[in-house]
Amino acid sequence: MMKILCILLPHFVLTCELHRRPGLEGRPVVVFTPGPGTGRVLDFSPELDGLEPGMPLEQATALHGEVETISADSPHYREVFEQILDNLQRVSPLVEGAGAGTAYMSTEGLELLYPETARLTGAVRASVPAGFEVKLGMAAGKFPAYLAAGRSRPGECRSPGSDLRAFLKNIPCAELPVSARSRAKLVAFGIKTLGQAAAVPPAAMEAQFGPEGSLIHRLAAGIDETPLAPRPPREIITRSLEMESATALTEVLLGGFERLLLGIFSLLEPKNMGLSRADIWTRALNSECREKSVFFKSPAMEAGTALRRISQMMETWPQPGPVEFLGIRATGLGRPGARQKSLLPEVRSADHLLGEISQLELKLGGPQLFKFKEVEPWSRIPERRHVLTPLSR
Amino acid sequence: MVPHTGKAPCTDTVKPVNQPEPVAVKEDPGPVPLTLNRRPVEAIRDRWRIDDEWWRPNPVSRLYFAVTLAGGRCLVIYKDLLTNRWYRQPY
Repeated sequence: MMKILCILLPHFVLTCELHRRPGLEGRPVVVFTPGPGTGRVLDFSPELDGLEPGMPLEQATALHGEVETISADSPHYREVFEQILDNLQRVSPLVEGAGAGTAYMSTEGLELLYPETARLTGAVRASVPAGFEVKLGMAAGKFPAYLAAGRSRPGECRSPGSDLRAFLKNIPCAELPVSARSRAKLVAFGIKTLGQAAAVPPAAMEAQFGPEGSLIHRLAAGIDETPLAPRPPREIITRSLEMESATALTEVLLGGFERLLLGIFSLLEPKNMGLSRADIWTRALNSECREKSVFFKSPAMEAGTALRRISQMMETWPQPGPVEFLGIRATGLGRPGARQKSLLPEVRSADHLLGEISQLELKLGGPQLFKFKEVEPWSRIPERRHVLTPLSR
Repeated sequence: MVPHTGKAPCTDTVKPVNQPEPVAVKEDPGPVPLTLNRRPVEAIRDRWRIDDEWWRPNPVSRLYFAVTLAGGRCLVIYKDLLTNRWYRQPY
């Protein structure tokens, strides 16, 4: 039976920051995403109790006053995670990335390469850079595998075992991947564990929770038939540069983007490929990052075309301050679309041809070109059925 | 350019297609063709007769044979029952 391996990298964002800033090791850190107000918590040091992802930063700093706050650098985290997914795809081609720090891998077809589970998990751990904690769980579905990974010990690949219901019985409903409204409603009904949710008849669950009720019931019973959506192999070109001096001038920033685009297109031109999507990002002096995706209706085949589009986009993309770093990730590459030419390039060519045929006829004293025409297709006498008539008539 | 003469187009410019071609056939009293242009007839696949245009000065009365010659070539021939001549019928 096919099994799915869940790879969890707890505190992935924080670990990315610690890799870049070793000086933060041992200090309480909160990584936040800028937003309305002071921002929202994205990740935090494990020892900081009471914090949750999505919590307002103000609330987090009120709970723990002496924390180091770092603005999130989403492009960097994405780049690191994509690299990890690339490494995992060398173990199995069927890998799905489910958000920063979570991946699923199908073990189908790996029995000959990795006869024992220990060898497979060893290869998976070797695909993750040192410094990241890796938790593994294996089950028949994604949700049970995720729960098993969350409860695995260091170096272990946890499996729910033969009695799936017993494994899920005491797991809190807060771990269900459903809307916050449904989770709150479950608590209001006194349904706190997956075992209690599985005991509710499915019809009753659907009556109270709608379509999510059916999902809640199936997941609580350990049934997750969500297929793995394998990550397609793709080519991504990344370029970045550090400005000579931080600036907020659009013209200077465009000059920087132009340099990056020239580098990208120097790789694409020999392959006759263009840019259909690019993620551009900037990082300001105050460490705030901005990121935006640029889409091209038809692939841009030269740097000038791409730059014009980026220039238009920058008119409505204010920067948080003088920009120190900027970069482009070419995430969508493509070839120019084919164009169907008209089958009749000269609309009046038929008229010209008939004119030439009439001229030939007059010059030679009689019709020279004929066409096959049905006259009496029903006739029993074969030679009466068709005739040749002059083409110009 | 050559000037247009102004003459009306002639109907005799229409040309016939698939006109029958005369062939030399040795036949038995059936009449059944035995040889076609000195090639033996190996098999007769089908035969039919048409009698048409009896209202015209030149009516049509033909006995058709779909034959296979030695060597595998397949043809359709007919005997004009009015002139007792044999023709090959193209399609």
